[in-house]
Amino acid sequence: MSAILNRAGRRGTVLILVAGMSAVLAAMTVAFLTRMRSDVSESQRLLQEIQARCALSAALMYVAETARLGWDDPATAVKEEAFGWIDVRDGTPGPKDQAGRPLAPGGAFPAIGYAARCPMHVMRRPPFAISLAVTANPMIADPSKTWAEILGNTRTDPDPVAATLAGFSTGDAGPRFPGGARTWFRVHRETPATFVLACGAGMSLGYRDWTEVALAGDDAVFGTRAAFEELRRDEAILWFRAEWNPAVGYNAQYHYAADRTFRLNRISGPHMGGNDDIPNSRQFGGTFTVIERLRDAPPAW
Amino acid sequence: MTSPSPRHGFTMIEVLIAVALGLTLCASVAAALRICSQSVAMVNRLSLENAMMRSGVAAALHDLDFWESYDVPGDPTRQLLDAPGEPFAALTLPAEAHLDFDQSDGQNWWRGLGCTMNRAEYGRYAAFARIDHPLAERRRLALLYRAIVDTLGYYAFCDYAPANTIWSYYDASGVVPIEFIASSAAPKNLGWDCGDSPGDLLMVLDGGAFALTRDPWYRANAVSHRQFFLWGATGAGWPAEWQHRGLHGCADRLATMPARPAHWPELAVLIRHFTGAYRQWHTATVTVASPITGLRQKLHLATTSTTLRGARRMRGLDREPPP
Repeated sequence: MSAILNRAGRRGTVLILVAGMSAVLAAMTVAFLTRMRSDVSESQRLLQEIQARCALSAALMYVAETARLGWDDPATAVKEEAFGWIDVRDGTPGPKDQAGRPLAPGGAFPAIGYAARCPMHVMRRPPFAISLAVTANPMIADPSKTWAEILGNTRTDPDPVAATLAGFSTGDAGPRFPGGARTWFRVHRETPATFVLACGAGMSLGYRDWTEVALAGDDAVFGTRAAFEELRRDEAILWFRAEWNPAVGYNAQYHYAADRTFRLNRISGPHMGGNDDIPNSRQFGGTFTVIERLRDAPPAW
Repeated sequence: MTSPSPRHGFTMIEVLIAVALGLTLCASVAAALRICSQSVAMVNRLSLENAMMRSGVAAALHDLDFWESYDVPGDPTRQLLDAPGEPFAALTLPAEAHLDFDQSDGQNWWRGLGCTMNRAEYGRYAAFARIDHPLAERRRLALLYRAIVDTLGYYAFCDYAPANTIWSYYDASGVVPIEFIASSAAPKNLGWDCGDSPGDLLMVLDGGAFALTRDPWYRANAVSHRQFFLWGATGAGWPAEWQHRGLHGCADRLATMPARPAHWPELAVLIRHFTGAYRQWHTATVTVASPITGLRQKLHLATTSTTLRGARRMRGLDREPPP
């Protein structure tokens, strides 16, 4: 009887030890996971701010590019080019075409007082997407063939992702991942050349409020107003004011082929000095004379 | 007579084995607990280091946006660069020198000799525009350049002037001021070191750089009115110390967690605003150093953020006439 008790006692001791160690391990695991969860949660806000800053770069590029490009008069066969948010020819608000006609109707962006909403989802296939796959075009070792045949080049290089030419140029603009965009920006035109840029990281797709969602007919995307507002609360939004100017640099160096001569270089042509391959040295979308972070949401964005 | 009851107990060998097993078990448990404890401590320390890094990045981004380490609105004791000639000085522009840079407006057009500036044999271009020209639109740019350069310094000039600005004008005597054409022989200049042809921002910043800082030594040496060379050397005419510190030293430390416990990681955030290599730079270096392991983690970031003019606009420092 006593031996049985002793054996039971030993089993109990082992059980207590194992249970104790398991409890210690479990407690440590819980503490570790809680700490990691807390870290992830704290990092999330910073990650959102950095995403929003990426959206700021995109917004500035959007303003610079649309100063000249992206407009179209459907009545003509060509894609018109504009002359700036403030037309460089006469100082009036743009964008206008070569004949001075406005390139966009009023009542919406780019009219002053209106905003463009730009959700920044990853597209399933962007326009003009090129495959990352290496295309091999080996020489054909057959002397009986012509030189052109030997050189091969039977496969396109680089290789388009789309199967058709139409698909190559239009792409597939739908969101690649479920849920769509996690980053967005809005460009509100405050004055002819001043823009309020709202840069967001979150799932609201850049809608300012539920009224705007309803007007766009996107109620079903969010379900309810409460769901939309909850998404908005979880977002990080940074507001900036930026002032655009058509001025671009590198005019002094490339007007002349060499210093102290009157021989003109072609604009954007190869420079005789050979250093015009400096990245981003010249572009035609204009620049920004002021960028200002706003502490609070402005009245209109 | 009763038979002797069996003896309940252990043999010596059993006891020794049991004690040895028990000690081994205890040692294992103790070791396990110690490792667990160290793991928890390490996790906490890593978590703290990560938190410090996050905190440093957030502080850096905040300062790059709001420039509060240079100038705190409403607190004159912390407005460190507001003396005349420094970037946060109040700017009152002359009547014809407003900050509207409409490129279609003739008053924003530079008029000068595009190749060689100050040689009379090529013509007297000062007749078209100079700082005392009788026509307001022909003296505007010169007045504007002069006001910004004198009141705020060279870095501010890079920030305020549109990208296509030709960095040159004619003074009242019809020549280009030495400040706008000089070379390394005269370091207090906005010119580019390749002759006396007029340059624009991209040309000057091909090898030159301008910076702002609240470092007392730099400020005492008029950093707001000096050009750095990007490649480090400074040329003749500079104080000897500039040869060592140069542009690299124009970094301002943020006061981060001064009351932290001694065993916490050390957080250092350096902020830099400078122009060079054709563009503006707003950068930060965040360093977290562990006092236990000695490990240093450094993160260098460059952002698109508030420009100097944007920071001054926040503070209402530009008083300009209506365009």
